[in-house]
Amino acid sequence: MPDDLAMSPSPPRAGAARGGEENAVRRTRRLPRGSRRAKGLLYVLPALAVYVGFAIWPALSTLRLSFLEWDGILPPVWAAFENYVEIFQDPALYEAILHSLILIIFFSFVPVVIGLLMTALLLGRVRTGMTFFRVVFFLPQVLPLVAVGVTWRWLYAENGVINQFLEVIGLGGITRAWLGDYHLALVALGLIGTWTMSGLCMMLFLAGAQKIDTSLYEAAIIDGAGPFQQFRHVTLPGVRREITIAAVITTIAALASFDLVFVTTNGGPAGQTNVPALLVYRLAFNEGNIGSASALAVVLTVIVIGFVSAIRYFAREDR
Amino acid sequence: MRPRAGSKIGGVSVRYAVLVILALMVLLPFVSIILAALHAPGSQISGLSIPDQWSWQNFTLAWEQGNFTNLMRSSMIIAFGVVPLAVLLATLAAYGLSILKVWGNRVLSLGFVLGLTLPVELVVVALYFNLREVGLTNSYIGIILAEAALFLPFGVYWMQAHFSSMPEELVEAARIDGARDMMVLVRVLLPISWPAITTLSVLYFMWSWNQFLLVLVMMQDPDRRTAPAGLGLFVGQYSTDIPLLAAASVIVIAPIVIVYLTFQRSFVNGITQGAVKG
Amino acid sequence: MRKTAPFRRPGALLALGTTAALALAACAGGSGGGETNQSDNDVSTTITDEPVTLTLSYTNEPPTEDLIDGFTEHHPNVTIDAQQTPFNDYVKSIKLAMSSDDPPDIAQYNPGAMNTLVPAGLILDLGPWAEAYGWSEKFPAASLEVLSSDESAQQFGTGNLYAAPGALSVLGVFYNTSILDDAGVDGAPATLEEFEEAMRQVQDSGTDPLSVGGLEVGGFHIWNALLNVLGDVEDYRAWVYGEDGATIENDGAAEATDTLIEWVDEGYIPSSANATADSDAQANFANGESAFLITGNWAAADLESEMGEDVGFFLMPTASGEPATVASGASVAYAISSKTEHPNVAAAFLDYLSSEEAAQIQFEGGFMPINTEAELGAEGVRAEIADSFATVVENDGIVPFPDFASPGMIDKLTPGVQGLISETMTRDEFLRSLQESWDEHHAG
Repeated sequence: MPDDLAMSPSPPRAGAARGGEENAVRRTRRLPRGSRRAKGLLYVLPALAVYVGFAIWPALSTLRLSFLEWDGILPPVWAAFENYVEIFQDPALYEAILHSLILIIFFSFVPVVIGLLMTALLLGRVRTGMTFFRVVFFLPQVLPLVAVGVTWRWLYAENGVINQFLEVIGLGGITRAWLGDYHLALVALGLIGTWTMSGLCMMLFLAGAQKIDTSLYEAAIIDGAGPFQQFRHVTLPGVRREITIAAVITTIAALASFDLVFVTTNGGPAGQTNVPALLVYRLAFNEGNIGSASALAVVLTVIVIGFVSAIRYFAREDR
Repeated sequence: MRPRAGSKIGGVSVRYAVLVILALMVLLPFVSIILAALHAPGSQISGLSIPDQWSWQNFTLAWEQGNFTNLMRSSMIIAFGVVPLAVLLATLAAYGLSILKVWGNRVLSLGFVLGLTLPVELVVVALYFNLREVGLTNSYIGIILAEAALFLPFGVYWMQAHFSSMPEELVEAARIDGARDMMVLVRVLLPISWPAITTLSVLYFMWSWNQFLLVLVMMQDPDRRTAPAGLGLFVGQYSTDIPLLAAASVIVIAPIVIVYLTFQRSFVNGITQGAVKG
Repeated sequence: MRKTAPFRRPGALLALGTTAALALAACAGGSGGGETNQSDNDVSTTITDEPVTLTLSYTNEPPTEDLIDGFTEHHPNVTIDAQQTPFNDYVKSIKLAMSSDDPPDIAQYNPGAMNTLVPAGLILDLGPWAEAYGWSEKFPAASLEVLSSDESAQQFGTGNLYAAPGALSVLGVFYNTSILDDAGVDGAPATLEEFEEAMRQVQDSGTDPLSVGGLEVGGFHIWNALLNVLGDVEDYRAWVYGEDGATIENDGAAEATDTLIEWVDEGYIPSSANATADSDAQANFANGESAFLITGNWAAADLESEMGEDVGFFLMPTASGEPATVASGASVAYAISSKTEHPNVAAAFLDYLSSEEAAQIQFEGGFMPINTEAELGAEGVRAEIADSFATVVENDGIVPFPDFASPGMIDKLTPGVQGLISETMTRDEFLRSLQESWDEHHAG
């Protein structure tokens, strides 16, 4: 679910969970009576049933399917780890994973940098039009990625806007059908991700920056810090949490991207933009290779969880 | 200090210049498709170009050829099924977890939160075959329940964060007055929770509207797919007719853009506070 | 036990489970014995007068809807609810729909999907109806052969009949007559060399020789058309049908691939091809931006309406100049679900496809008709197609498209040819990748 994970704030960090414990300790005296705690189950159960039935159970089933060889119709055959072995032997499959790692640069790293730039520009002295810029920058994030893909597919076309622009600025020599270029298609795809994700990063950073104690800025000014130093020494440390969060959300979006690729290149040219999600879909529903599809989905999930944990870990160690 | 005063003015205009350039880059694709959609149907367009004569016909054509009457209807059915259901379930669950502190509430909360990192790809393969067993593929109910399940982790987490921020005395006072649990929720907590619920609803609406993979897999009936899913497949058939395709894209993004502009504040709150409260 | 039951049924669904088990038992009886027991006795060529509603899933339009209208006009008590799915979604969609509890009665045939549906017993064996109606007389032999397979759907061209064709198509080359005139090319080329010469002349005159939809299937259609005239038809057929030991790593395929690579080097195939969808390529050609387009005759109706008399058609010319006797073609064919309650009505629809009236509908939709004797009054580009097609049919030279060979083949063909076009894949790598997919599918 590239969309909603992209949009959804990250899970509370381990630190928050610890905070919760402290609260719990503080509140022990006021814990509701036992009967009330039991009745609480009635409130939680409906959500739990839907969540377990339609998310957790299928996720576990996918895990189970990853050990089978199954075409979706005939009886499945036990395959042990064969499907996993295949992922690391089939170039098409592991290259897809590599591609999604490259996309992290464009979906996550670059947008964080641009988001910081936008934040720096919008902070402080820009009063007029602040809301306008915020609303505009964030706009790409609310669109269905399918529509974004359709639009960009045309912008990137041989007679599209990008090439028109390049010709105007005298770079007519490098025009091409960008999404069909063997070496540049993945980059072109990644830049669409940059376009959609930068506003999200900005929105997070702005929210973080607005909570920074203004006295810190005043102190910095007294120390003779210019706008750049202020940003570097006050704002940047102030939005570190938000940077972590932005990195997590956008990394998940990069790794799990499907919609954009499906409507723009469908993995082409020559598999240069294959990503795991696309192959999961193709293997499962076009080629009837449910086992491999499931194994790839599991590997993708492990990578996602690995990255999310890594980002968290590094973000907290610096602290 | 004095030289800096001068650079301040220069600084502001540079800032605006960069901001305007960035804004243009963000808006360029929108401008291109809107301009493209206003060209005469079937005309060849290269790059950005102002149409010779403004033509609104593409919207009618795209609406008819893209089957948007049906697509919009099912998008609405799904969104208006998912949003109330998921908001209701999330609110009840959060109330049970945060206020009533049901046994095992911490484990349960963690379980919900875990769902935030599950990619839909992991769920969708088996979900299809699970639902096929019980006859819920190709049905609105199957999609609504599946989307609700995928959106619940965020909702439970969001409403929990919201309820935890409420002063405890509020609940205590109501209880001393003898109010039952349901009454506490309905009479005391809900009336002051509308901003949080609105935000959650708006986000849910957007996610549901934009969901693609799940609908592509679960819904075989082309008449009951959602607008984005329809657009994703419409591309293949009409990729040549740029004005038509651009019009179809505008049709698909218009509702969500309108919702965004209307509830802009809720979006911002949802994204920023949702992330930061944690 | 776990291996045989994909999912354990939650207890709450016990009731549903029982019904499903009954349904399973019913269709297991059908698939196990090869034929559906209950309908064995009542195979009939006359259909009921009671009101009947059938559902039909398809992707090709034309000709499907007009054929349905034609049929229901003869049988007003029959209603056919038709549901179209775009081609890029059809394989998945039909596979999922046909294996559901409530499948469509009739589905447009697709080899990729049949690979799993036929072994699962979800597709009705049409043998009894073929006999009752005498289809072997009514349909061209090659067109039925392609739709026959063994029960495991591993080998085609043999075994039971699982679908009947509703329109035929053939792969060839469309050309823009006025662009050729301007470039000084004298009509349709007769040999492969002349064709290459014509492309060179067009290129020299400053126009693109070819429009290629490399993003989708357009790229491998060129390869396929070359293979038709450069390869050995028996080798190819053995490979596509899945005969033991067949391989695509042969001299003919190597030559076809080399030729395609040469065309890339010469710039006949534009570098932008990999970002061009099939419909884009067709539109470019129709707008006079290129001289040739290699695709199937399904494009004929559209091209004719846009280009009028400017468009012509020839089959990929042979090296020797002999008229081509082999061409890839597919049929828009229809299969019947083994779960249908009205197999006789559905079969009557299939039989209608071979009628003279249907021939007219098929031809008007830009296809080659099933009934080759029907009077069509063909003229223009479609007459040219019909003429070339007649030669091929006489020689029994219609062969399936290469994506027929295995379910994953299309996902090797499109990226493979993209690799050739972007000059990042060698001939041998390309052919190897195809054969790997074939080996994988036919290993079991």
